[in-house]
Amino acid sequence: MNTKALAYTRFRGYLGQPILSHMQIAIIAIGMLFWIEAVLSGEAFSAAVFGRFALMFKAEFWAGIMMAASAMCWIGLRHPVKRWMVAVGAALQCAQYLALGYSAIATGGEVVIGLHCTTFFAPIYFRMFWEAVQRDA
Amino acid sequence: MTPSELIAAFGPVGGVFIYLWINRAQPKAEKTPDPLKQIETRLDHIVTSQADIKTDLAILLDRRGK
Repeated sequence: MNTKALAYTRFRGYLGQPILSHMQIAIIAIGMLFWIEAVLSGEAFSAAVFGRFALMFKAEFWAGIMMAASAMCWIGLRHPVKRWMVAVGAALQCAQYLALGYSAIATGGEVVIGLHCTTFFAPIYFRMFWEAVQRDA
Repeated sequence: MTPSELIAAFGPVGGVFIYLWINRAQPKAEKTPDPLKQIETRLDHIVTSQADIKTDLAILLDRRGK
């Protein structure tokens, strides 16, 4: 019996897609660079780009959430999938991107930044969260 | 740039990196057997049993023929 062929054709589910893990690594790397930039220069982001609401919190706060939530998602997605970690990490990321999107769109930031946050990143993380809390996903 | 600034900048980043490295794979003690391997073992067992039955039948038929 060709075990490899069988393993390849076996449906691994939504959370088994490798692209999701790659995405977490990329976001962790962005979070790390954002953190270093925020601590060393103190000018990691501005109200003109992200909006006044985002500036109510320190840049380290956003960078920390980005790193921690993506790290949780990445570890949760490693085999075997740990659904609770994916659910918590994805929920944090979803909330963060919605907050950043609101800030950029409604409190004086760049609208295109807000659109990326609310129409690209937040729905991806919401889908991950949803799939993680579904028992049969 | 002071050492404390460097630690504040790179310490948490290093901590996250170490945390990821530790959790990159499931510990061997917690590993469950691969279900595909289990199925393969069972199928192999069935094939062996079939071969044994064939051999037994052949021996019985041979004896009967005598």
